Amino acid sequence: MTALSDQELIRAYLHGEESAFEFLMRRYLPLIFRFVSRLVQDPALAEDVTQETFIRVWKKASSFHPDRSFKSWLFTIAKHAAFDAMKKKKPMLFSELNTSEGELSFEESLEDERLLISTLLLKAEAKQGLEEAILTLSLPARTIVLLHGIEQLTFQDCAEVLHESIDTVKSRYRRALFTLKQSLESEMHQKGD
Amino acid sequence: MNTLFASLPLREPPPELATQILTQVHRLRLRRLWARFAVVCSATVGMLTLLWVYSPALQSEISGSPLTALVRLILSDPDVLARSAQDVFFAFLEATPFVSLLAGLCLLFLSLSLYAVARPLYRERRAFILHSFS
Repeated sequence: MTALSDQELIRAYLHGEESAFEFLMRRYLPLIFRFVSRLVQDPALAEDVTQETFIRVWKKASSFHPDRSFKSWLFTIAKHAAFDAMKKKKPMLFSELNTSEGELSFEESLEDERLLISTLLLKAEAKQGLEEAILTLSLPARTIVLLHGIEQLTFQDCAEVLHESIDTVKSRYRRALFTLKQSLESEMHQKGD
Repeated sequence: MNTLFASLPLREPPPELATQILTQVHRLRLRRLWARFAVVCSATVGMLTLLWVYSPALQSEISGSPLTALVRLILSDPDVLARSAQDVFFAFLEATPFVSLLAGLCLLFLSLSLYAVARPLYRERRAFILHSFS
């Protein structure tokens, strides 16, 4: 059963093959846990959110459309579960959900993405530094960095997860990289001083 | 791009998390099946109570029905069907104890539903116990 695709597994599960759910869960558990733990930044809460994600998947499996990508559907559920948990944990500031990051400033639009990444690579020598810089991003920016940068979801899949257009997702990602670079730069300056 | 984020430390889920999720799913599935079982059981008990309350009326409907006499007549003289098929059809309609028949069908449906719910419930309970001990 391990050779089956996600779509085949979920179809098998909907046809009464209970073990198919376990295969799917084991296949995606590390990915979801990694994504959620970086998003919520609380190991105990990350466990709860991961559990909640798979419970929601189990409950909503019948509503899954086979034409859709299972991975993006799963990440959508995980994102919602994480946001819900964070809202319960502490009131979320409106500014944290601000989506104005989709619009690039003139300065940011001049930066070449490859250059931006290589600069970031140089600056992110300390792993902890990068990890902390990711934390400084707003929630939508952090989500897009985690989805595309770390979990390697395509922009198309990211757009589905975030319910945004691909262009918005792309520009928000660039903006997030720009913010990361600035954050690492200021950290380096502080260390230099 | 991969090299940039690949430097981040891997965060592995705790080994017991998968088991916790499966246990939770088993629990929810059991709860759902028990709820269905309770609904079908209540409906069956309700139906049996109704049958018991109205049993005298149903009994008299069945005993007073000329259906058995009609069947006996057809068996003794099958030609009657060919001779007056329409009359036999109307006689059947008149003779059939519909209320009793309907009650019987409902009871049959509920018994089948009870079996259909009880079987997965038994399997799930067994799987849950096995899962808990493994």
